[in-house]
Amino acid sequence: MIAAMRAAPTGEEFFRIEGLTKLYPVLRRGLFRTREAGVIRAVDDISFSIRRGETLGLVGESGCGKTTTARAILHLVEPTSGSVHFDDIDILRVFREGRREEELAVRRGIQYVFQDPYLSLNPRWSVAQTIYEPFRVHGHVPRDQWENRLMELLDLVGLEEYHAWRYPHEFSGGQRQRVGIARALAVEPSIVICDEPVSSLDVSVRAQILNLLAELQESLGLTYLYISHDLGSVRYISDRVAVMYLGKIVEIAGVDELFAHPRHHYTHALLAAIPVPDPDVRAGRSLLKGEVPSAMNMPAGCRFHTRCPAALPQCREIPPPLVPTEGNHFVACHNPR
Amino acid sequence: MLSTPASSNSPLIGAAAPALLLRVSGLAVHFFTGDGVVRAVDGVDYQVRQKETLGLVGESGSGKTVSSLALLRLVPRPARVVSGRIAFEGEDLLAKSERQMQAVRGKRIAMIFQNPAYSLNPIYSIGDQLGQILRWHDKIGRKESLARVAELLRLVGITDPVSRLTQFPHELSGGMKQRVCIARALLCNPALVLADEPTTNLDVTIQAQILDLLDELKGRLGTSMLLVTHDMGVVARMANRVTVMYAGRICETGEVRTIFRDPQHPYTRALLESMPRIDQSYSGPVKPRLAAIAGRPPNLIAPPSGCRFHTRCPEAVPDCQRLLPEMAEISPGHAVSCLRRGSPGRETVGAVA
Repeated sequence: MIAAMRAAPTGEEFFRIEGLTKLYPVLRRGLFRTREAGVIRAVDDISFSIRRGETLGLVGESGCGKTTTARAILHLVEPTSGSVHFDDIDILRVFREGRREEELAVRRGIQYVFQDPYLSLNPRWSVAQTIYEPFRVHGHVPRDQWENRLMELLDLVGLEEYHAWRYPHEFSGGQRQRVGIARALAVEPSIVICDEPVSSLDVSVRAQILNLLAELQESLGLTYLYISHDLGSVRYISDRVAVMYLGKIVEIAGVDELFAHPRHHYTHALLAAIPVPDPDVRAGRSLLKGEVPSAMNMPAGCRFHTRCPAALPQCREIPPPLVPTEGNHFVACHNPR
Repeated sequence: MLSTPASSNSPLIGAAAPALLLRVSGLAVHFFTGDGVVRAVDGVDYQVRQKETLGLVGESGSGKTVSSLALLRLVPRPARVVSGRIAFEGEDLLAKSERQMQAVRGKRIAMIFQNPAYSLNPIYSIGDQLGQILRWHDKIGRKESLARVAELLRLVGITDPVSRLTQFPHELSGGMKQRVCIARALLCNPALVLADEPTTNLDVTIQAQILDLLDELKGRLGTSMLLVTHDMGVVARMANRVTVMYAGRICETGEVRTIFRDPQHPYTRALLESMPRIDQSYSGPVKPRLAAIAGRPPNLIAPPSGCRFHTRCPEAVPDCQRLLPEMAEISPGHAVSCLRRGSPGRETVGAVA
């Protein structure tokens, strides 16, 4: 079995998400009052956990809820319900109750690397200012150590010392993403949420950043939640992969197992749709008719049944639960492949 | 009718020999900016044969888009075509007047843009904006043009095309808009379609649908295509031949199988090796590293002397800093510009204009 070749993730499940839900009400404004016309179920009751030192890839097409999941975890959007446990701390409660001390501790533990490093760096701050800001906020580095620590961080992400005094516009996209990574690492987090970290970069630079993420993980023992629609980079960086469709996780498995033996029909179609750089491989073909249904008008039962080639009558009525098949392969399907 | 290519009005369809449709030679497009002259395209040659798809591959800033826009003489200011020849259907497009070009654009050479939302006019209905093109080029009436638009919409897989004629772009999804753009490109039965990253903005499952559609239409209509993209997967899926660009110059041209099985230019090799693949396992006690290309694409105001790739090339020798390699055929149909592969070099140091 290919999946067995993968070194078993050893760490404990220190990051647990249970029943996370984010609903957006759709408001219709009338003459005298505003009424709720419907609800968009952006993230709908999803649960997963991440082991220390592993990378969980979260994949899906635009609008499937993968970024909303990441934002809800960090309380950048307020989740409607659900819980996130990080080292046994209920972090959503910490945020909701505004316990400043604990909130800072949580924010130190979980960092975020954004898709567009240009938009996520302050254009008026030099790299040094950008990196000093978390030092100032968290106070975990004594002031006389700031510069040393800054240089260590730059070295860690492959930048030179003189880069410290430059501004974001003076960097290329790849270098800017290195600055974004250095800023995330400045607070010594245990988990880094990477939201499409290479999607805005040139092809020839993507491999550099992926290698850097792999190196940092090995040397610092980092845990990643890696969010992307680019399945090539997901295959490279992930230990396990969760696939989302319309706000639900439809499948979770070890990376090699998932790519070699997808059980959910959506995962299968998604993988078949990706063109492979080999003219003799039959890939990049469409197995799915139609488009993703509107999140406001969600199909009943299994959300994928409207496009599924193997739908059964019960798929239209009963939403399939995410259940284990063999080993650690979970799939939410009444009629898996 | 479109569905029966043999009776089509295009003289190209049905031709047996893969004759040359387009030959671009020595094309140079420079941007005259306040900071200096950006040599975005600096002496490129490529050909498109009849009924074939040429994949023009490169990263952002490689000049692939500018060199395709130059075919329609649509390079944006402050850019200018400074030299070259674009022979298309036996005429030099660069020698034509603006008025003569208008008869080529949309009629003989049509374009599919990257972002369908930006390339459709939001204030005209689909029927109006597509019908307008037919009325302009073919001097036909409104009713006739709408019937033809509906026919094309059906051809690109849009259900209930007649009712779509009165819809506006914002009422369609991204995939549907791109189908409309493809229909628009095919309205006048062009000999050549320029597709600039036609699926980059789409989700992968929709991308697969659009690629299937382009494939099917190409087979049915016999249209040639210049496919501009950075995605080696899309190229492998769609192209017959491939031309690889880097920093405004061509690195390598060849049949698609040659480029993917036996790439010769170090940049082509690096591009193929640096991409993580979905059909390969990277598991193991220590994750294998990707073969990344060091550094970053050069600044084209002051491009590197000699070979433009030498600053990042793992195989560079001292001569590469000095000599600009010219394209040379190393086997039939496979040409490379690399001194290490025997290409002739032209002195550049001290010769910079």
